[in-house]
Amino acid sequence: MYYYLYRLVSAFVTLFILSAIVFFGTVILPGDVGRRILGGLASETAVAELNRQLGTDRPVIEQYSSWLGGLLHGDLGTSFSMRVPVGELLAPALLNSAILTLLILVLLLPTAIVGGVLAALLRGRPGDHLITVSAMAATTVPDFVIGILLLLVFSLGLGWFPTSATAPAGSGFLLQLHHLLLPALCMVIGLGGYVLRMVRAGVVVALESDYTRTAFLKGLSPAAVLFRHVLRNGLMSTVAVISSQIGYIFGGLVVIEVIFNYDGIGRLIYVAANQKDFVVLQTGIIIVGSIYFMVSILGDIVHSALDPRTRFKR
Amino acid sequence: MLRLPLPVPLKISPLLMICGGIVLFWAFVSIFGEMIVPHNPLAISVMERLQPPSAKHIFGTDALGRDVLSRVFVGSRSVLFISLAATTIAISWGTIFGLYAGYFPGYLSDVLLRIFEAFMALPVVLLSMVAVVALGPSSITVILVIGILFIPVVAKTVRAVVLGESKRTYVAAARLLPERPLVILVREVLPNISGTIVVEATVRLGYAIFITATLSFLGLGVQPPTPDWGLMIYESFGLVSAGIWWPVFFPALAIASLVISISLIAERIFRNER
Repeated sequence: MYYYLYRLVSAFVTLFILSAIVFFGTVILPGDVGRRILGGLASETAVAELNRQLGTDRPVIEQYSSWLGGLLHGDLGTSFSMRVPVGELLAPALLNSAILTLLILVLLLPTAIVGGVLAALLRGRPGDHLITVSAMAATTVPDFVIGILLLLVFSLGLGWFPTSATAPAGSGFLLQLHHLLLPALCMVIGLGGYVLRMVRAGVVVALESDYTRTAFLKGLSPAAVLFRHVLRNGLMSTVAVISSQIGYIFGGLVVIEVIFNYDGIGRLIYVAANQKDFVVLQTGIIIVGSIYFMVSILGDIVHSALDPRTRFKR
Repeated sequence: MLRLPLPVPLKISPLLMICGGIVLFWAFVSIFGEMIVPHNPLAISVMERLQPPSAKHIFGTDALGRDVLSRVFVGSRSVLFISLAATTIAISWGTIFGLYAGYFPGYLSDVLLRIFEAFMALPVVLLSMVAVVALGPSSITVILVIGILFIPVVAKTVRAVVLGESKRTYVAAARLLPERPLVILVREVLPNISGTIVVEATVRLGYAIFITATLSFLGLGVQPPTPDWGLMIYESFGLVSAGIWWPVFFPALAIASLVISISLIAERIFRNER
C-alpha cells in the first residue's frame, strides 16, 4: 500500500517538474509570445495588445502559477489560435486516439503473445531466429516509414484500404474499422516487435526454470505444462511491459495520425506546435504525461495482483 | 588494465556482413555524396518535374524536377551526422551522470534521478516537438534535443552497472590504497563498463536515427532545400494519393535499410558482450 502511495506522490512530483519544463520551454525560452504569433511585420502596439490579452505580459512566475492553478482546477485554458476552450479540443481528440489505441492493442496482444511463445518454444532454432530478427527489425524502423510503406503497398498499390483513417460521418462500425485498420497496423508492427521480444524473454525464463522441469518430470502433458505453468509465469511481465509502452504509443500516434489524417491527440499536439498554439501544446502534453503515469501505476497494480511475488519485493 | 570493448571477436554471420555492408555503403555515400551522384541534388529542373524512374533518373524526380537518387544518396549525410553528434552528446554526458549517480548514491543522486524520470516520462517525439517550437527547427536544435533527451536513458543504464561494479573487490582495493574517487571512476570503473557503453552507444545511434528521421518528416528538423530523407518524405507526401510514389518510397527504403542494419549489429554486439 505504501508503495502505491509512494508511486502516486512521485508521479505528482514528476508531473510538476514536467509542467515546469514544458512551460518554460514553450513560453519563456522563445521570448515574446505576441511577436511570434503576429510575426516580424506587426506593429509594436499590436504585439503589446495581444500580449496583454493573452496575459503573456505578466511576470513569468505569475503566468506559470495561474496556468498550473487553472490546470489543477480543471480549467485548461483557451486555445490561442482556435479561440475555443482547450477542453473542447482535447476531449474528442482523446476519444479518437483511445479508439485507435484500443484497436492497436486488440490486434497487437494476440499476435505478439503467439509469436513470442512460438519463438521461445523454438529457441535456438532457425524458426526462433527468423521471428526474433524480424521483430527486431520491425521495432527499429520509424513508425512513419512503416506507415508510408503500408500506405504505398496496401492503399495505393493494391487498393485494399482507404488512405484516410477518418471514415465519412455517420458510417457504420465495419466501415470505420476498415478506415482504422491500416493506421493501427503500423503500430502493431512497430510496437508488436518489441512486445514479442519481451514475451519471448519471459517465456524462455519460465521454460528453463526448475518448476517447469518438475512439472514435466511428474508426468504432466506438454500442453498442461505450457498453459498451467510456463505461460502463467512467463506472461506475467508482459502486463508491465505493455503499460510501460503507453508513452511510446503516444509518440507513434502523432506520426500515424498525421499520415492518415486522423483527428486524435497526437495530431492535435502536432498542429498546435506548428501554429505556435502554446496553451494547447502545454496542456496536451501534461494530459499525455498524466495518462502515462496513471497507466503505468495501474499496470503495476494489475501486475502485483496477478503475481503475488512482486508484492514482497517492495 | 584496460579491457577492450569487444573481448571476443564478433562471429561474422552472413546477415551481419550484409548489415555491415549497408552501413558502410551509407557512410561512404555520405562522405563522397556530391562526387559520385549522377546529378546535382539541388538542381531544379521544371521540364523534368515528377518523372517516374527511368534510365536517366533511376529513382525518378520530385515536384521540382530534382533527381531523387542523388538526393537520397546525399541525404544520408544529414541523418548520419545529426544522429552521430546527438549520440556523442548523450553517451558522454550520460556516462558522467551515470558514474556519479552510481558511485555516490545519496540525496543529490536521488534528485538527479527524479529529474531524469521526468524527462523519460514522455515520448521523445513529443518532448522534441516542444523543444523545436522553443528553439526553432534546425540541425543544431535536433542534435541538442536528441542528445539531451537521451542523456537520462544512458545515465540510468550506466548507473545500474556502476552500482554493481562499485561492490566489486577491485574498487574496494582502490579505495584502500587510497585513490581519489575521480581516479577510481575513470581508471578502474570506466574501463570495466566500456562494453556496456559500446552497446548503449550502438543502440542509441539506432534510436537517434529513428527520431531524427521522424522530426524531419514532421517538418521540425533539417530545413529545405537540404536533401534529407525524412524531409524528402515530408515534402512529397502530399503527392502519394496522386499515385506518385517514387519521391517517397526510396527515402523510406533508405531509412529502413540503415536503421535495421544498425540495430541488428547492435543486437549482435550485445549478445557478444554477454
